[in-house]
Amino acid sequence: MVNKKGYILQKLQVKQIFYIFFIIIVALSFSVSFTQSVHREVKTSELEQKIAVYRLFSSDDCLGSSGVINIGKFYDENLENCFDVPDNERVGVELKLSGLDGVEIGVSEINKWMVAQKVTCGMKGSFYDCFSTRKYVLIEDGGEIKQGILDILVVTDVK
Amino acid sequence: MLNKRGSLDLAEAFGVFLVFAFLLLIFLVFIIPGVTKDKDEEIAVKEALYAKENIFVLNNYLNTPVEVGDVSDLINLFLVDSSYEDKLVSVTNNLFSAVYGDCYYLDLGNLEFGSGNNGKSICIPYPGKDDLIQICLDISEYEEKGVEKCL
Repeated sequence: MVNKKGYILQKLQVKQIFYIFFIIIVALSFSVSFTQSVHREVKTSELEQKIAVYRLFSSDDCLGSSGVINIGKFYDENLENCFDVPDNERVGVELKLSGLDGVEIGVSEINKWMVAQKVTCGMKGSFYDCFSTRKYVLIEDGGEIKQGILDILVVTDVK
Repeated sequence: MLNKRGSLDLAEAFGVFLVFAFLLLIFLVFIIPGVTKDKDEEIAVKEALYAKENIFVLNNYLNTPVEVGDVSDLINLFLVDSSYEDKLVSVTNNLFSAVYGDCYYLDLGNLEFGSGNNGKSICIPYPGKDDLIQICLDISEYEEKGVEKCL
């Protein structure tokens, strides 16, 4: 019905709809701003992976000194001890040491349960994230220095 | 309130505009810089750790035993006598190709090795014969592609 009164009512409704949208936009803006400031966080899994690799190389107790791997220290118990993973820190490291010709010298794992989760890395919806890198290393074996390759795989929780 | 023609008052429209402008200002001044600052800090920490890892690789390269002592001795000889260039190139190529395939880049003064230059080189100073030279290594391409695609 289009009489004068009805026309005014329709205009009022249009205005009310406009204000409802306006209030929704303002409320959304404030809630987004608030949640951004409260939940602003760094994606820590990648940092943890990098830190794990750094810890292995920087500690003389773990692999050896000055980046030279002492083959006598390359076993699970020693690496577990030097890495000292706290119970609440969900990180696993797999280390594969081989010669420059590719022949495997040894494999060691820190936190085997976490390393076992590597099969899920890259899967959609996986709770684990993997980082792999390869370092050229020198290996000290019985006073002799050899050239080698250290393949490192770090598995962390997705956070 | 409606004016006589049933439309928004100018003052009302201006008020709406002010609220939008205020929200935009909050977003630009507080939200975006905060998020990008956190991202920048995350990148800086990752780059610092990446640099430390690769300095170990460079140190191992310099300490690698060769006929004349180690690679740093060979570089010293090359810097005073260019006839050692072939030997240095051969040793370096053999070593890094075996480890990283072609997914690496090593810049050794005027000598360059590999093609994997992603602009993420980590450099350490090396005392040259005339001036300080740098040895730079970039293995980021290997970390992106992995062993299957590089070797």
